[in-house]
Amino acid sequence: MTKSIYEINEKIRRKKAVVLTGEEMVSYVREHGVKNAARKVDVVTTGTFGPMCSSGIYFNIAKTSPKIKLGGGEVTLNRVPAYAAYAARDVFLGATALPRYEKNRIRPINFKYGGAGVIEDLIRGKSVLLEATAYGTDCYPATSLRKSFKLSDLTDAVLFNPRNCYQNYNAAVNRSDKTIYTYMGILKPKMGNISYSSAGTLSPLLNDPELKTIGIGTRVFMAGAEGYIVWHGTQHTTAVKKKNGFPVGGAANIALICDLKKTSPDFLRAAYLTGYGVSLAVGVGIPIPVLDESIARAAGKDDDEIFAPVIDYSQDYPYGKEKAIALVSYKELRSGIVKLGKKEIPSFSWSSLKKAREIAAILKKKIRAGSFLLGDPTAALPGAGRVG
Amino acid sequence: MIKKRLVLKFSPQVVNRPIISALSRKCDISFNILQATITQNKVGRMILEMEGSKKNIDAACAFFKKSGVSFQRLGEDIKMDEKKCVSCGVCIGYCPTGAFSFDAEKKVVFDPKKCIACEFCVTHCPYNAMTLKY
Repeated sequence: MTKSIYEINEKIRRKKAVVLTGEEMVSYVREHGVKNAARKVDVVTTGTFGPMCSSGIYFNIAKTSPKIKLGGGEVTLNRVPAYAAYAARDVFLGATALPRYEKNRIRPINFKYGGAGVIEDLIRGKSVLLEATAYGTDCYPATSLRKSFKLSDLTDAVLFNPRNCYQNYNAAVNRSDKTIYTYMGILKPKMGNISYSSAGTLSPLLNDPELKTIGIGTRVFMAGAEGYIVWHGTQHTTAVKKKNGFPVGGAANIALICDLKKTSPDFLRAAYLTGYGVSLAVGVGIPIPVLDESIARAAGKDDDEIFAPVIDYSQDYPYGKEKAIALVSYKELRSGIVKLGKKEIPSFSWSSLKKAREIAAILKKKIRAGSFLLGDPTAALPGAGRVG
Repeated sequence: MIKKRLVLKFSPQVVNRPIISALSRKCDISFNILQATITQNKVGRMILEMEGSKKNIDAACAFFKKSGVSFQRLGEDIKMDEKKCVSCGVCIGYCPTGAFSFDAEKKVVFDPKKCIACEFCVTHCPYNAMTLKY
């Protein structure tokens, strides 16, 4: 038996849709079985909240007199370099951008500010200083600009993720003799700790592992706003090893977009990673329509069915020689202790389960209230499977 | 017998005096120096764990007061900003004494009693949710 997104949307409009969070679906499938779940449950909501470096914003600055063409010139926002080579007034700011003074500090650098900090300042309503120099043309004569502005001063501001929501991810360890500072955190020598970053059973793309329902045009919860999947993410792949039908490691990911003005600092936060840099934590939730039994089964899986590869970040990762030392389940990672051979390693997470639950719950509430309809994808992602 | 952990603050006026040595001679307590630093502006900060009878520990505290050393209970100076904390749990992996844990709702909670004020969380919390206040 299969359902269509159209049919589910009709039920949502009539406030008759049966909506469960990813965690509730685990219990439901365990109790009632996959067949019943596929028949009864219409939508499963997911959520994730963790640092995603591949994030940025773009906006258009107000007209000035004389006019300035930022393209080809240089732009900073609170001394953080931004990219302005699109045209005259379009500015793009990446989350990981750093002011020069930050990079000159004693190592390991304890970062205090960067692109993500500017983004957070903007959504908190703070004033940001734009400084620009340009070469001047006949139609755009100004050669410099210095102006403070707030998010509310901009006509448009857009949050954009070239890549987000990795389907699954590595668990990181350090096999060397010294402490290392990575985007997976401070890793103690001789496998003294292990870090991971996934919402596990609530992770959006793990609830639709074959991308049968998620595609271009899917409506999502993004940092408190309504956002959309606009393309596959920049390191998207479906050609990966699988275990229990779920990819082990990175795999699929998506490009996301939403209105920055509608985001909330509750779900969009600058993250400062000692010795590594600045990143942006973005809360994302995707509703998964339960179109067939395979989706009900995937959405009903528990943390003990999904596995992360343990990767060494001292030698293997930096030199592109990633080889899984072992596979560990998210159940084990979540327990706080991972057993590798005879060694018991304390584990810690970059992904907030509390925030992921909040997002899945918000999405569930909105769908049940009929105020969030599912986006019917206009095109599939590369390597996507089919319903039925 | 009781145990007490204190953060001591030595002003520049007293930072050169052998106060801890005097403490060991005057008060019948056992103690353990968990941390000791002197900042660039000559302020000393020490974390001291003391064990002994209540009477002797009170005497030690009175001795600090008399010697011009200010103090407060350990853990009172490290604070968590609930608004900044996102409950990721990175601190759980970093804290050497297990002062952080998840509660039933997966919210990160901080137990000041286990804190030794090493400030690792203050420096490394990705969301700057931990601060040192003295």
